[in-house]
Amino acid sequence: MSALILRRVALLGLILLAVSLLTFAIVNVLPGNVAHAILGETATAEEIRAVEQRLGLDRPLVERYLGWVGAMLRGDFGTSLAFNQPVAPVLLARLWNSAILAALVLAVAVPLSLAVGVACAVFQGSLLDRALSAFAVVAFALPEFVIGLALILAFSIWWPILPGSSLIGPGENPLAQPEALVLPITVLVLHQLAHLSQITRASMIGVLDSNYVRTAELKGLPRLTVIVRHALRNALLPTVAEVGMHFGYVLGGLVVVETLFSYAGIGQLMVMSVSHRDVPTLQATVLVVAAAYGVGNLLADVVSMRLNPRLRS
Amino acid sequence: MPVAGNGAAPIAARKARSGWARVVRSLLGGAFPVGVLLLLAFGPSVAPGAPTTFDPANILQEPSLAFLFGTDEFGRDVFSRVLWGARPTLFLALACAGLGVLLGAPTGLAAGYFGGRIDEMLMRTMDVLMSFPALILAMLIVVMLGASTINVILAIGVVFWPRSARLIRSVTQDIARREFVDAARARGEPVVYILGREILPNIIGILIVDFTLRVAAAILLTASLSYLGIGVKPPTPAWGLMVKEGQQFLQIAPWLVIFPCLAIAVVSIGTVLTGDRLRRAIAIPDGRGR
Amino acid sequence: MGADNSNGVPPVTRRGLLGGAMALGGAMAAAPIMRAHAQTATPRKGGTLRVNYPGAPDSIDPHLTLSLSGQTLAGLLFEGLTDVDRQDLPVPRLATSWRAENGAREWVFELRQGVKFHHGTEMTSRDVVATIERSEDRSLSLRSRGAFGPVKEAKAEGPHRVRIVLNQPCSEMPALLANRWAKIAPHDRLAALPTQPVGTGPFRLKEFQPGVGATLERHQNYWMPDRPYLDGIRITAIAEPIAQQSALRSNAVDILEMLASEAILPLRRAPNVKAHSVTVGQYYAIFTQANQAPFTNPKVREAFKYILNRRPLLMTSLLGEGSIANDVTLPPGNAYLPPIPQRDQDLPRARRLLAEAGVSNLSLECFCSSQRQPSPKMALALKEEAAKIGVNITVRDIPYTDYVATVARKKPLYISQWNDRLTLYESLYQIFHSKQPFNYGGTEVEPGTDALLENLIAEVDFEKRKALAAQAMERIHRSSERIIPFFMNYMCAQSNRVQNYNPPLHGASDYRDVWLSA
Repeated sequence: MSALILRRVALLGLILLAVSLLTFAIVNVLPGNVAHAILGETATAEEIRAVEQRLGLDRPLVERYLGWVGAMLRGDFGTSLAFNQPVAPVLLARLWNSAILAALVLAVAVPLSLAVGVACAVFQGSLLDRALSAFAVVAFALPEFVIGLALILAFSIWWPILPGSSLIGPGENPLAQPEALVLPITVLVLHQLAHLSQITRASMIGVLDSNYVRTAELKGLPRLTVIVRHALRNALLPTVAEVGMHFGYVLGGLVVVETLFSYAGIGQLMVMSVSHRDVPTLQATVLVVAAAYGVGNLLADVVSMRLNPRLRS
Repeated sequence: MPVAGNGAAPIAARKARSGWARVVRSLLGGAFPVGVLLLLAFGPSVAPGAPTTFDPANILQEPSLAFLFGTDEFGRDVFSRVLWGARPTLFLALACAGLGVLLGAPTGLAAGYFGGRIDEMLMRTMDVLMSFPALILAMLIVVMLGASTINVILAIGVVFWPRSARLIRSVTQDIARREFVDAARARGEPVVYILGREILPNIIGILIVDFTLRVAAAILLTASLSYLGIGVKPPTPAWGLMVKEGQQFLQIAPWLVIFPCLAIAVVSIGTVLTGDRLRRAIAIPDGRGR
Repeated sequence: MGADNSNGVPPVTRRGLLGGAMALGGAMAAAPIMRAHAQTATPRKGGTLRVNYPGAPDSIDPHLTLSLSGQTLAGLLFEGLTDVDRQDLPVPRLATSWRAENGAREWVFELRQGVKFHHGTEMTSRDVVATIERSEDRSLSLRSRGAFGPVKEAKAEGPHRVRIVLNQPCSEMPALLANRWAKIAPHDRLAALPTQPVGTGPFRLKEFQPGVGATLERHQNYWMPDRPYLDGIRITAIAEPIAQQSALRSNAVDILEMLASEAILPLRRAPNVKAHSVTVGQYYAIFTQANQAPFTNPKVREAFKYILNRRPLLMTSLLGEGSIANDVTLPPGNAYLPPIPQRDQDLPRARRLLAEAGVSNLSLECFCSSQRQPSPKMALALKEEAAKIGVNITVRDIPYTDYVATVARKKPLYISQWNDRLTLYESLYQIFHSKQPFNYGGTEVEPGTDALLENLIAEVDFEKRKALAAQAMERIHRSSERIIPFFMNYMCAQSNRVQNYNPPLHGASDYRDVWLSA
């Protein structure tokens, strides 16, 4: 099993290399020249040339790519063009903020989805099941920003009990203002819940229908014990595999939710660096996100393997 | 294959052949697809007005009998805009999903059928694409190519590509091991024939389901891109764009957001449900990946 | 103040008392008692003011920042030689007096003594000269180049006197130097300016969080006694209008700067909140670029000015939060504004002008950006109205950075955002003289206009200058490449805790006099 994991880690390295190439390619053909973005529309052609020279944008692409990768490997993430500040501290602080948000989302969404999914499966066809399933479909069918806006309108304006934005002070931990996290987390959890609970429900129904669960019931074991001890463990597998996949979805969702709630995370940073044509920041951020995604998937695989001995071979 | 791959289980295509009739029945049975087709065909002609006509005397009017869904800041009738918006919205979503399946199916077929090095090469390439979260990859591609309808289709098609490919690959792997495929190989049939005539008909049901579910995902993705300010911006009233533009008026004219949102929700719920019906009809386990 | 300083001064006040009060909007008028109270109460010291902008400061280098939040930040950390008051008259800041010499070709500024930078050294003429040299350094290509006027050379004449020699006469130097980029920095910290801003301003930088905001604390050695009242300022960046509003109402911020017109309407009804909407000189110009076909013909440019129906457009674009403009760059109330009849929609005339120019079957793309509201609405309105005279316009809504790189200065028809400008030098000369950077088409408005503009900025007598400005604006009104349908109000809102806050008339806010009630 450890050999398999090692192989996956090596593969992750290769994939990141490819990702870096792709990112560099994408980012460096962005329309909207970087120098123009820095100087604004009133700049003259002569001023544009001076900035391009200063930033080394007149060097060949290959040279720039190698320089960038080399610097990244040394831990030098470059200097943000928009803010004139080193990228690394900004990126790391925001990565931390996003990680907290993502971790909280998963910490709430996974157990909740399991509970809802199991409840729906156990009381299959009941009013509860149908109501929750209907809710899941609706929550899944609306874009996050719409759910987010509706929540802000409802809970920050009409019935003002929660902040509609998450202002994180300098050096402050996002957890210092837990109330500001409620709405962003809710938006992402609703979406997760919609999908994960349905997967749990489906696999739980399958497991409850299986022979060994019937056997356990016939043995006269209490229903709750059967569900928790026998069924749930097996029903967990598809959900965990799905959580790995969903990690990427959460990262994508962060882009929208962080923008909506002015939350200082990497998603917001990415949108800002796109609109400022801040190439060094964008490159570094995309690479870090891809790495985080790769690691997240790897972890999900490891957990799957632990849960399911058959996959270890 | 990476363990967490989201491929359908190998039992997937067990009933694929007999599934055809049920696919058709299921498609026709749902009132939803019919409704959507009607909307596409006749929506604009039953709309009370053109979607772009200004009416300075009636800006930001509440919903009423004269303006069923109210009016926007130009005095344009929101009801008409929603009806007109069905075509660009669905066209965009269908094109995105179509491109995704069109790219994913051959890749998945080749990887699943040939296996070995070809499989490795194709799937590792897919892994690179998969290592960008969907929305982020779409965003980068649109930003790189510039915001136009074609580029949004390209971007979302590319996002769907590896996800479709993985699904098709796992199904193909299963079918490629069946006797009838072995028999065809033994007869000396060319590879193209085996893929096209023996395997493809067996996975077509799955392709349709995959396509259907991706249509819903595409509607949501395009709407999110619009929100981030990097979507398509034609003067035609696509629903996602209407929501994005109406959002600034959320407080003083919520109808600008509510009605296009309802349209998005109805269509994407309908598509998801249709997809689920189809899946049940041909007994494919849940294999959608995000 | 020097004896000569009245010569750059328009004697007419720009904003009458009545106009000002009306412009402040309903919420203000509804609270006259509170306002009177605020003025008589003794300012209370202490507290941190929390100010929100829709976008975080982009840069802490005062010579580089493009965003309004960055310029506000720069104006809190740094100071210029002069300021303008609420009537746009130049008043002393780091300079205490000034005089023109050699027909306004040279200006001599006496510096304030005893002004300390944040790092403790005293501000002298050496700093002023070094700052001007940095700003003008072509190799740095800073945004502030040209902000100190048409400078040829800056010379120190003793520790507290600076002589600025100009390339051409400029009678408005004192007001010109109050602009948002002409900020003085210490000569020994100029290289570190992008990361460690050190100025003489009432506040010093405590922390800059790129993309998030900035935290400032009181400058203990500030030269003005008893100022600032505040202990600190925090600048935040909430972009979403609904979230902005909820932040103000839930007391998470004290002031919302740069509000959108959709956001100010609900705030007018909110309790404990004052909403402001003031007339300023910011506008969006529809460019009919004069060196691009079909606009090389002045008749075509003139025809396009008759297409739009301005009043409904103002309602649609800004929900009425602005004032109708007349295709000249000076906002209502400006002392130099000549009595040119207001231009209205006149489609037959537009059609006739196009026919006279021999142009038919026009098909054009109009570029705008959703990231610069309301430019797409203006483009859409232009398209609809132009269709009525057979001109076919396609609206192209593109990302702002694409617009900057590929459209501005390069395409015939597009919509461009322009900030308020303090002086005629900036609002007429730099924008319409064919050799100046903001005349995008590089074309003389009408024969003789360039010479007129040159005479205008050299003229030291106010009345004569006003007459020249009127002549220039008549030509600009008729033939320039800019269609200016309306001026946009500056909109902001504050909590009632905030005292002595006046909405900025030139973009960047100054919180020196602001205090927080208990």
